[in-house]
Amino acid sequence: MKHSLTSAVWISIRPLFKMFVIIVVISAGLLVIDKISGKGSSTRKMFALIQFNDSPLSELSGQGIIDGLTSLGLIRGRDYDLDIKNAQGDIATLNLMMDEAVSDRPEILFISSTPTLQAAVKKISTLPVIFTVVADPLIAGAGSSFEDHLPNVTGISTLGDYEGMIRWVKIILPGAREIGTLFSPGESNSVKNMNELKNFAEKAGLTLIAVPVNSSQEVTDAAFSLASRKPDVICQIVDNLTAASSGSIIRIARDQKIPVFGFVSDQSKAGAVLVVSRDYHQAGADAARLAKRVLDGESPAKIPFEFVSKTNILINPSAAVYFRIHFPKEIYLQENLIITKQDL
Amino acid sequence: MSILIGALTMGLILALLSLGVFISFRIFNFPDITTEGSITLGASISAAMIVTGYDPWIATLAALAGGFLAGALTGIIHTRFAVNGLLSGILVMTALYSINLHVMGKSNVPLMSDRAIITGIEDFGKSLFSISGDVSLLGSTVPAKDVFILGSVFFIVVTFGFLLYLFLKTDMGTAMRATGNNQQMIRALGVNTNVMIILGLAISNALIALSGAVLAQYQGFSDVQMGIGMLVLGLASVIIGEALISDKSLGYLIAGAIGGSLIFRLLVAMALRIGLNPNDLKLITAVFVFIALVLPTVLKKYKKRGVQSKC
Repeated sequence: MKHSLTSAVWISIRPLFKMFVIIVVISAGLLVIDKISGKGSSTRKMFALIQFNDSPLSELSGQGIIDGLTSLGLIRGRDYDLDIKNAQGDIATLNLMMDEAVSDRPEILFISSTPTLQAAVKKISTLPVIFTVVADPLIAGAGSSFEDHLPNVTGISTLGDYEGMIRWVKIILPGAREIGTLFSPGESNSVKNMNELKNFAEKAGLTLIAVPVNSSQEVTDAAFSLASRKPDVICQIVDNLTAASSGSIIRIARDQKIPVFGFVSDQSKAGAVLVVSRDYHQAGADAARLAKRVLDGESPAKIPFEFVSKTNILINPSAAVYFRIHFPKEIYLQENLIITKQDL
Repeated sequence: MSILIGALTMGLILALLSLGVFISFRIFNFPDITTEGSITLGASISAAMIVTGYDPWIATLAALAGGFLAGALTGIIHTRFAVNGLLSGILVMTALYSINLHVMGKSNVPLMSDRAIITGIEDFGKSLFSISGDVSLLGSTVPAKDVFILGSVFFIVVTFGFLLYLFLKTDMGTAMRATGNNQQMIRALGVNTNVMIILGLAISNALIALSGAVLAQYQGFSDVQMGIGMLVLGLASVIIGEALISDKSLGYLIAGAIGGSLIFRLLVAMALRIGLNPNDLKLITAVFVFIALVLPTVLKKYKKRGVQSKC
């Protein structure tokens, strides 16, 4: 009787047996690999960098971290190993990478971009986490203020210099009444950037016309729609969606005789008259500086979040000539001025 | 150890997704791209409700209901307005993008310190076994909460897999499966196939939204873009699972969809752990799915040859 019962159970699970064995085998394999690769080299420090997707921002900041560490006397391959992981925009993979970091236990975990920080905040409580290229770490849940934050997390916020931008708009185009931008409601960083710009614009008596875009095909239409509302200048904020098509936005605006000011350095080459850009390479280097402080024994809890330390001003004289814009003298006195020589 | 637990947990959460995809893809024979909207819908509804102070269980049930409506809408567009299935899915998915933004009020809702069903289960588990902090498993210590989460997600998936099995075995469920197999035949028997398709897609997307709700609570946020690529993940899991079971009857197919999701996640974890260049990840994903698609055919040919040579 007992025998027939076990054989009945066996018959009923037999079709699943192969699958079950495979799951167990892969799980065991994963554990073994995890044990082997978890050890790492004993003499060098181990750092990890987790990125969410491929973008010029993640590349620049990644390079910035490496260069920043070099300038602090830490050479990759000699003093430390940096394990760079990129989730390719896939949230499930991102979570997996956090689990990996937990078993690897790097001495410093670098994080770039907002979704990555959110995943890290949820999953990692024992490793020091240093973020960069995050517009607003507070929205991401890393703390309640720049000083009062999670004990293992600190980093660099790369919120654009909207105050500076509006100041330049008032100086260069004193008669301006309305400024415009496209923004992507699907990205929290974009909404945040747009609101910041709006805030400072309103303080200066300017009205912001913000046109939403939801997909890359819509960017051209939205740019036409924005241009047809004739703002005095388009101050195009940064987000993943519009960053990829800033060239076409600038071209459409130019045809309507509307100058474009921007926040990312590539916009200058594409024909933006003025760019007030956070330096993303510097954002990486700043993160490296915080990492050094943590390595020297300071607790991340005691290190407040910082804004990226360097802002560049890029001007494109040939674009300025086209729009009959005269730069005031004081712009040439700026310390971080970069002049883009690129004809329209 | 924690990478294994993480991969298994994620695999189980996405197993709910593959159960949903199993219904649309295997029963109705079309890949329902509503998936990419409804998983985000589930995440958005649960995150937005939890943040406003609703009980996480109610929020999760609401997410389930939201997915049900989204799927029903796809079904209605497909059947009543005679729009191609793939197209109706695309329509609803596109509309859901805006709806998800409205549900959350912004593009991303973090759930950092808020209570979620996951934290509820964690607390329950801790009080039940009176442990806190870390537990020792196979010689390595892991946070106890991760083990509880894995256990509870397993429980959720098995429950819903079993419920789906029971439903598909009822008269109505049988009629639904027959609708996918042979519409004319089942219509001749007096079944309203339109209702079957609408209901089937509704159930499918309810499961997918549930997956999204659990995922959001597990990873601690809901993001309007989190659905991108999810249909492919679901399809891959269903196909891998199907390739690995030897009996294609209903119960095994359901178990296969769950197992396929686990295997897929484990393989990705392994590929990453070996130190694969992350830029190649999508390529490897495609290779996994390709192997799963081709393997059964190759094995069959091989077996046939083996038999012939014996003769």
